[in-house]
Order: sequence, then structure tokens, then C-alpha cells
Amino acid sequence: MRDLTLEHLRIGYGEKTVLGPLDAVFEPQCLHVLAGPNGAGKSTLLRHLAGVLTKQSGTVHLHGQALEKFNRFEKARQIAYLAQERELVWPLRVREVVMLGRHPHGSSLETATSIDEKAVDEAMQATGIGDWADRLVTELSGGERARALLARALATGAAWLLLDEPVAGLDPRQQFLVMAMLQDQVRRGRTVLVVLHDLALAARFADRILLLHQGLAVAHGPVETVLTEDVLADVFGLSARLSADAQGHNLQIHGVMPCNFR
Amino acid sequence: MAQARLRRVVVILLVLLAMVSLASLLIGEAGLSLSDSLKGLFGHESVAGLIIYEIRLPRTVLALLVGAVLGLSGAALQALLRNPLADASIFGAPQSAALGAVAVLYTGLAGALSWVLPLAAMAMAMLSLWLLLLLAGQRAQVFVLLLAGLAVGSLAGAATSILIALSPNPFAITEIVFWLMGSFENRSMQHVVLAAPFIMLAMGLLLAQGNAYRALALGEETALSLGVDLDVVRHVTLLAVALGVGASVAVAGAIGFIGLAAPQIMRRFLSSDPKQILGPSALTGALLLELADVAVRLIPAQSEIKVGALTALLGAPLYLLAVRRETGQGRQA
Repeated sequence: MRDLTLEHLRIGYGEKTVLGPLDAVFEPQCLHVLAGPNGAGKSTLLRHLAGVLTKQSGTVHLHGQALEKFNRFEKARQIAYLAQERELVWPLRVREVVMLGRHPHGSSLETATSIDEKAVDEAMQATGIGDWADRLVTELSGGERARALLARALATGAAWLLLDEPVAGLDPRQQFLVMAMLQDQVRRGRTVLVVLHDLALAARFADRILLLHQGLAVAHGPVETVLTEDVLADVFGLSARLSADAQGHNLQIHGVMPCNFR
Repeated sequence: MAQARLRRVVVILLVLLAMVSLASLLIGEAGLSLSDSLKGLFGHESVAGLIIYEIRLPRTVLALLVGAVLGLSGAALQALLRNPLADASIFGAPQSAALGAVAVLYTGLAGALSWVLPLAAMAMAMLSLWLLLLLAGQRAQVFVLLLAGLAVGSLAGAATSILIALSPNPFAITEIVFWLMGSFENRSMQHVVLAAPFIMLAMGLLLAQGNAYRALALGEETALSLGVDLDVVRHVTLLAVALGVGASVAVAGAIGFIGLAAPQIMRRFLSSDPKQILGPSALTGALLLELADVAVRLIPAQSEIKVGALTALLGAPLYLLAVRRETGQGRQA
């Protein structure tokens, strides 16, 4: 019962439903990729699980308990969320930002215990920003900023990491490093739900893929059962082929399906 | 490192505040010599003592309280809206509060020292802030709030002056200027008693939101995911700002730009951490307003210059500079 279970979940804005009805089970200690075209409902799902959006109907159970039964801080200690919008208004220092991850534990810069300090240190080490404690976040490059915010999410100590396009705007090497870091977090016992647009990256790193299209689940499971030629043609209008080697899955995109070009 | 800097800034502010407050007790239109004033400070019975304790002390204390809550309100609003250009006075709240006070005062509902006065001022400040956010939307750009606030402020200011002019009052012009420009002239300890509880409550409520303001630095979605109850933070902030601004206006009229300037100054000299600058912004607000209130007594004029006129005179250019910086125009220069 350490999983995250969605039953007939519907989420929307006002009357309009943008996601669901959706049934899915996310097993613990896996790297789950949420994939799908723009507007498929990937971010909507994460935003609901993070407590930003309310649902219209259905249930979500985390570790066997209904999500709404958790109080705000309990939930925030279980689920960390990296929003798509990377807002950083004030020129805070990197360590101050990462320490915000300890907010659900009732800790702040002023009241941090050795446990908080350790969690922050580890998060900064894991994202390779251990030396940046005193740098101003407003002066970081896009890639550096992404890592600082990722460290903030890690510092919560949450078992579940919900990341909305954490590699957006990063160069290929940085993308690869971030995904490898997430894989490492999964090995350490965490569960990752990550929205990715890069299907090749998803094929390489995912344990499970939930493919959404127009608010509904098209396929959910191991990479080879989801990223099939038919599905890729139907959902993305792409001609592509999946193969595997010792490192994992490789997705080769050959081109755009002419009839499906939208 | 950050803590040491904070301590240093707070100590400097406290020392300056003590010096300016002492100056405020020793300077006034009674024309007491410095030695008489000093003697009066240590002896209640003399005429000098009477002047200092009955006239200058309430004035000094009020300027401290009002300055502190305005500075803190500005820091809180800027943190909540995540924009250094936010302030209650920019949103028309003090003018609305003045309208509330004037409305009950000149319709004969309440006397100048009645509790009804601050309550009406607070209610109107609350209403104006609430209306502003309702009309412009929670996620409104600050520039939209600013334009809407300009309209709210002008409307309330106009209504205030008309209301006073219509009342059978030989001192109407002076009264209009008092409510719209603010002043600490002729205040008594009763005014302090009237405003202090609300101001203290407002400051307590705002200081308690520090961690939430800091989490909001990462955006509303991230703050929500960290367990911050955004609705509570929004409502408590608006309520507290309305309490502070309303109580201030009820005893001293509408005084602008303190809430804008104090956090700006602290961001420059202390840090950008929205939680850390809350307390220091209150001290800076108190220092600025006390300084302005001493200055209006030193400037030779026919009648005393209103302290709100001075804060606007100094604050408005600062605001324009901040606008220039925020819109990026300053960077190209």
C-alpha cells in the first residue's frame, strides 16, 4: 500500500473537464514519466496532486489514505512539487531557497535544526550545487536555476517527487544529468513522477510511462508496451521505432506521419 | 553572516530612532530653549514638562506607531504580491480610510475621540483593498492594481473633501488638508490609546506571516505545495493592513509613501528576504516618519507643513525611480 492510486479522477477548470476520468496506479520507487501532446492534461494531474488545483470528482489515495485526509503539512512532507513556472522574484541566496523545502517541517532559516541542515546539504550535493550556497538565484543561468529549484524540491525529504518539465530549457548534457540524478533518487527509495516532452529521454530513463491524450490515458506501463509504433503514430503523429541496448531503451524518431500532420 | 548583518542594521536603526525621538521631544513651536526642554523632560511640574509630556510625547509616540505599521504594511503587501511597487497608499487605502473617518465624524455619528472613528476608517480601508483585489483579480498585475488604486484614491479623496465642505464647518479647508495630507499636530495621549491597540494587533498579524511570505518568493503554486494556506495568508494580510492603515488614518490622516520607501531601503541595505525585512521595515518606517515630523517643525512656514505633504514630496520621486528600475528602463541607461 505504498502506492499512489487514482480512481475515476476528473479535474477541470469550472465546468470544463480537462483531465479524466482517469484510473491509474503509480507504484513506489519507480521513475514514472507523464507524456503526451500539449494540452493532454499532464501538468493538470501534477498540479492537482500537489494541491494547486481541486478535482471535480473521483479519489486519490496516497499510501492507502485519501489525499484530502492529509493535512497541508503532512501532505507537503510526502509530496514535493516543482512547478512549471520558475518564479523567482527576490534575489535570495541559493541556500535560502533550498531551505524553503523545509517549510512543511515547520523549519525556516532561523529555526533550522541539524536535520534540516543535513537535508539541505544532501539536496545541494545531489544536484551538484554544493558550492553555490551564497550565490543569488536571480543571477543564475537557466540550467543553474533549474538545479537550485530541484534541490529545493529534494530538500523536503518527500518520498514522492512531482516534477513538471524539470529539463525544459536545459542543454542536452544538463537534461541527461538531471534525469540520471532522478534515477539515482529512485534507487535511494524515492518515487518520481515527471512530465517530459522529449520522448527519447523518456524512453531512456522511464520505468513506467503514462501516456495521456486529450485528458485520457492512452497507455500506461513499461516503456516497450507504451511507446509502440502504432501509439506514437496515433497520438503524436510521429514515425518512430523503439529499440533496446544494454543501457536501456532507444527511441529513434524518423519523421512526421504525413496523414496525421495537424 | 546574514544574522550578524541583521543585528547590525537593527542596532543602527534603534540608535537612530532613539536620537530622532529625543529630537522630537526637544523641538517644537513653543520655542523652549534646549536646557528648558531637557529640564522639562525630567520634571513634569514645570511648564516645559507639561509641553513635553502633554504635547510632544503623544506626537512622538504616534509618529513611531504609525510609521512602524505603515512600513511593515508595505513590506507585507510587497511580499504578498511579490512586487516592490506595492503599497497601501498606492492602492488608495489611506484615502478610503480617511473617507470612512470623515463620514462618521461630519455626519455627527461620532466625536473625534470615539472608537467609532478608527473602526469606520478600518472598515473603509478593508473595503477598498478588498474591492481592488476583487475587481482586478487575485493574479492581477501590480500595474493594474496601481491604476485601479489611483481611481479609488482619487474617488475617496474627492468624496472626503466634498463631505467636509458640505458640513457647517468654518475650518473646512484646514480639515480637508489634515485628512488628505496627514499631520501629528495637536495630538493627545487619547489619540495614542485609540490607535495603539489596532496598530499592535496589525503588526503582530503581519509579523506572523513571515515564513509564508518567504515561501511565496517561489510563486504561488510552489508555496501551496509547501503547505502554505494561501487564502489565509491573503486574508490575514489584507485584514492587518486595513487595521493598521485605518487606525493610523483615524488619528493622523492619510500619510503616503512610508510603506513604499521603508522596504525598498531595507532591501538595499539589508537583504531581499521578504521575512527578514519585515521587522526592520517597521523600524525604518518609524524612523522615516519621525524624521519627517521633526523636519516639518524645523521648516519655517506660515502654518506648519503637513507631514504627509513632506513624505509625498520625498516619496513620489523615489517611487518613480523604483518604477524606472522595475520596468528595466534604468538598466539601459
